[in-house]
Amino acid sequence: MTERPVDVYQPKSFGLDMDFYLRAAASGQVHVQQCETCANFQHPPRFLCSACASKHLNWQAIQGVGTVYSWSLSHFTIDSAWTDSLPYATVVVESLEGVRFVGTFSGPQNDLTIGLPVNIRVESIGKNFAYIWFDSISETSEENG
Amino acid sequence: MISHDTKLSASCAAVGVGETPHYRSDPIDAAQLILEASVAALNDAGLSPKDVNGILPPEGYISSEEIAAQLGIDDLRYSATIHMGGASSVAALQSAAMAIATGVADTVLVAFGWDGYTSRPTAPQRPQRASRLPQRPFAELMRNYYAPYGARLAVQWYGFYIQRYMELYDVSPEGALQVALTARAHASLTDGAYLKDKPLTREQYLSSPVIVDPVRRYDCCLETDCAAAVVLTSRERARDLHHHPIIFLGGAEGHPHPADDITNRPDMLQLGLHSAAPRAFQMAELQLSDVDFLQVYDCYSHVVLLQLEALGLTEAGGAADFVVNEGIGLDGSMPVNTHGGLLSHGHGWGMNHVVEAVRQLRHDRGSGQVVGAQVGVVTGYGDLGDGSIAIFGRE
Repeated sequence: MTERPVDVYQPKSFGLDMDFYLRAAASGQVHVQQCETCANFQHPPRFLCSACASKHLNWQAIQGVGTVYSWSLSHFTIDSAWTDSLPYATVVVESLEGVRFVGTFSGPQNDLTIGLPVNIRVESIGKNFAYIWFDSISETSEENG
Repeated sequence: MISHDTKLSASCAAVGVGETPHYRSDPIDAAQLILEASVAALNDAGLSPKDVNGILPPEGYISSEEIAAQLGIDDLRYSATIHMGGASSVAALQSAAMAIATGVADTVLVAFGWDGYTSRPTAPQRPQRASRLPQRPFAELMRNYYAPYGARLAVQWYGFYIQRYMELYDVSPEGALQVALTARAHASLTDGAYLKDKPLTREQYLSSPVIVDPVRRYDCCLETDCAAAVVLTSRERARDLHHHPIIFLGGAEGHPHPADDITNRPDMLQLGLHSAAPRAFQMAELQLSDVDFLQVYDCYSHVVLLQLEALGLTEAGGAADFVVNEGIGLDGSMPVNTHGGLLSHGHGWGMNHVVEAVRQLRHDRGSGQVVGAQVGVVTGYGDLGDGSIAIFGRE
């Protein structure tokens, strides 16, 4: 199981990126921009809709479900907070909304495969940051069952 | 659409190349190296700084005005800075050609240099002048969305698409291995290659540590302090100079979308080069079958494989098999990185690839010569996947 570093790096965000984190930390759910004009979802947050250039963007909570798109398995790091976690996977998941997030998979690394269904959740860390976790759906079902 | 009045193809020629050695030792001032390489390129061309009226500097370390002031270039008419990371040197060639073809400038210096070893991520802290450092347009995005999850280095970001590439196409690890071994073999035939005297065996490669799966230490570019430069002038003027003119036949730049975020691209495996390569070949009115060698930006062996596919050498996923079965050595089907590349020559951000292309086409490479080379391609690649390409031919 990948653990996150206790001293996880918390970016000092500005503008729209700060909005992303404040919202996720306060609500416990990932929110992304959805265009009011064409319904496109986008991440990271932008000033305009990247599909139709509309300025009318709303924050929407995502459903919280996706599939693994890829990952990067590091055997080397310059971030001392992550040294004890080596080797660790940095995972990219595509949500049902079609946007992709970078986060950490909570299950065993060997379970990672392209297309693996996962739940997307956040762990609020203070008011300004939220850490994205991906949980294997079958594992979650077992826990709930 | 390129205007019929201004033809870029064959409008200008590379007439001078220069480079410094690759250093991995005491801290070095990149600006000084850049000036040295620029002077070397001018000397190679048989030109004086007073002949230069266009400058494309690197995206940090020194400005075009500083180069002009230091070298006594007193009538600068065109200056532009290409901000595409490792794709900048090759992308800059198109801008140089545009300046020359339109008459805005007639002799353009395109320069690169940096202190990659001195400022490597694991170096002890040293004072940096902030104004010297290149801007990274994706820096905030990386800090906000990749860094909290442990991905802070380029190799970790490219791990996202290399992992997917290897899995989707069942790519043999033999491909990357051969890219690394061939680069080292070519370096052994190249004066100035940092690892010229360090052969690399299959066993050494396979026992080297994995940095980010599947990228091994010997799949990673060197970090060196160095500089390199090229001087271009009009085709007419080039004929009066003493080297065989090496004609710019075509070029292009391309960017994946979104360029600043790898993770939200519709197809993460699409590089800027995928869109740039067809445009460059169209400009040159040539095909890959006309090309005698490829100098490919080799930040990592696996990124070479993807670029070979972007150039159209094989279908998607086919590069590893080509490398293994057809060969990318001097005697292979398509020689690649005949100087050893970033992997074994040094980290010249691809300007050393331009210099090598010019030397190959001059037929100046001795035992490292691609015999009878007439046309060559150089690619550039920059974080996070920007691409550039230039096609050169012997006059």
